[in-house]
Amino acid sequence: MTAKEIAKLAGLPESEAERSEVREDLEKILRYFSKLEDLDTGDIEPLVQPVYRENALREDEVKDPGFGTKEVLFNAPDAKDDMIRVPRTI
Amino acid sequence: MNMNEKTDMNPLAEQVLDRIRRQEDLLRCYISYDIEAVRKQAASVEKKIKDGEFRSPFAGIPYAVKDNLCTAGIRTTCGSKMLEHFVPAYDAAVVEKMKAAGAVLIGKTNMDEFAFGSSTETSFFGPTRNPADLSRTPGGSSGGSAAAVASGEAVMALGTDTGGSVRQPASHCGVVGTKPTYGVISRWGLIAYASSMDTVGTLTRSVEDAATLLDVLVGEDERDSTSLPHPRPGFREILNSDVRSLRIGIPADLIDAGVSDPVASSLETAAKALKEAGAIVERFEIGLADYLVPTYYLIAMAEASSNLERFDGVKYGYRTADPASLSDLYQKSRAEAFGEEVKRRIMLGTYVLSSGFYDEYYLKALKVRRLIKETYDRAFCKFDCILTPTAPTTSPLLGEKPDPISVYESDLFTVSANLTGCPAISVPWSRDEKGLPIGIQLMADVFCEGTMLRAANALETLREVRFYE
Repeated sequence: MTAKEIAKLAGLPESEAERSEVREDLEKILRYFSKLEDLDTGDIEPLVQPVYRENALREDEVKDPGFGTKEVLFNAPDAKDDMIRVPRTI
Repeated sequence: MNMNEKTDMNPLAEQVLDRIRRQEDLLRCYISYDIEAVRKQAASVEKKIKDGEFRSPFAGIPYAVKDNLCTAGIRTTCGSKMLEHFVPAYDAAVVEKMKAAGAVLIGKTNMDEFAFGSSTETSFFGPTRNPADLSRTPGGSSGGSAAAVASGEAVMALGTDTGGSVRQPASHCGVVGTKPTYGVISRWGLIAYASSMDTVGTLTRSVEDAATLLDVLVGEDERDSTSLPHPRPGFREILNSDVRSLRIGIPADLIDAGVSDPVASSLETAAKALKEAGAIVERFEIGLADYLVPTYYLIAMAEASSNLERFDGVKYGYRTADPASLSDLYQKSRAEAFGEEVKRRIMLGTYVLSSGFYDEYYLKALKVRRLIKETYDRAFCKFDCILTPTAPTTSPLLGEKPDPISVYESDLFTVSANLTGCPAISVPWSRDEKGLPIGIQLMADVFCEGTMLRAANALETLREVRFYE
């Protein structure tokens, strides 16, 4: 995979990966990660959560969060009529 | 400062505000604070204390909150241009708890952007200075919180610790930094970095304050589905400094991987003091020393890249001007508002999670994480606590631009607590020849905060260097 492709997957413009120092750093850090190849981990179960807990399930109920559309849209960069506006998509 | 000795709350808030007036322009601990709002809050809390509404030891205590924890109506930036004008509609669970206890919120503290860093220098709002030496960093990422507590610009502070971000700045600034067991404090309202390791932690001037504060903060919360009830809460009540027969292990292979001379001798004197107080202190080999930091960073970056996908310039946060299309809006907003370290981590995180590389990198790291967890499980069969320095050196000078890997490597002693979910604490122990604080770290098995705090309290009692008494 090229640096440009990585940038695109990361939701960044391809130009972000064009600078040589960025590419060098990415390569250096990936080489650093490759150290883990030394270890034999064939039968080992991956560990995702460090402290085990059962799935936390609860009823799917609507609860009042204590705030409404106005407070949420306050942070929207561009909103109109209780909706968030984005560039035309189709 | 001991909360139980307080006589009048308003003088304490005034004292803190006075420090802010005199020092804050220089130190830059805070991203946001409002002196008049603090006065009003302190007065209203004072009235409620008199009316008997607040009885908590924290009623009237001025405290600071790291700027990645949401505060209703107060902007929460995460140290990033992306959230420069973001005002949350709700409080983080820990802020709710402090409010309910009557603590007085002073302001929001500076941090590395999205908590990605160890010096607070990647903040969009500029660096914080270390109160012990203004030419140096306070550490990070909770550098503003640590500097605020060290300088008296807050009595205590909340921080967050994903790989050492509470403990390392505590060590560099000379305050107590505590990271409890993963999951025992709700992360509701925390802007996520690496969700399998993010932990809310505390910065205080004493171990006793830390124990008291943890008692307020721990507890299961249905809004954070990874939160857990603590099986043995009530830390303040059982706190003493008796370390007789306590088994303490020093992982020699980790120490040998490289610490500065003053830090090495600080660890030696701490070990000797604990031994003289009756603890059984032994050196041992923990193993996997070379793999802790790469495993941590690989997992942290993977989770970060996923967590930071939400910042797309649509619903909140920074949006680029005049985007040509929706995808242009996403990409340009992110490119213009994220700093260099954030972009580096999300690109690497995206790469290690991408199909074709997932098994080689991410899955491999999760397997090594299991090996690391098993290694520490074995160590905790032999020892009650693991003793190390918190950081390999004292605080670096501001403006140094070391290469990213050497910055990552300086987290050698702190990341294992996050990979394993174990609690760990940094206690100020000594100073180097320049007078810079050196912290000693104690780590214990999951849910063993009680033992850890006891050993930390012993260190605080035994130390010969003055910090805050």
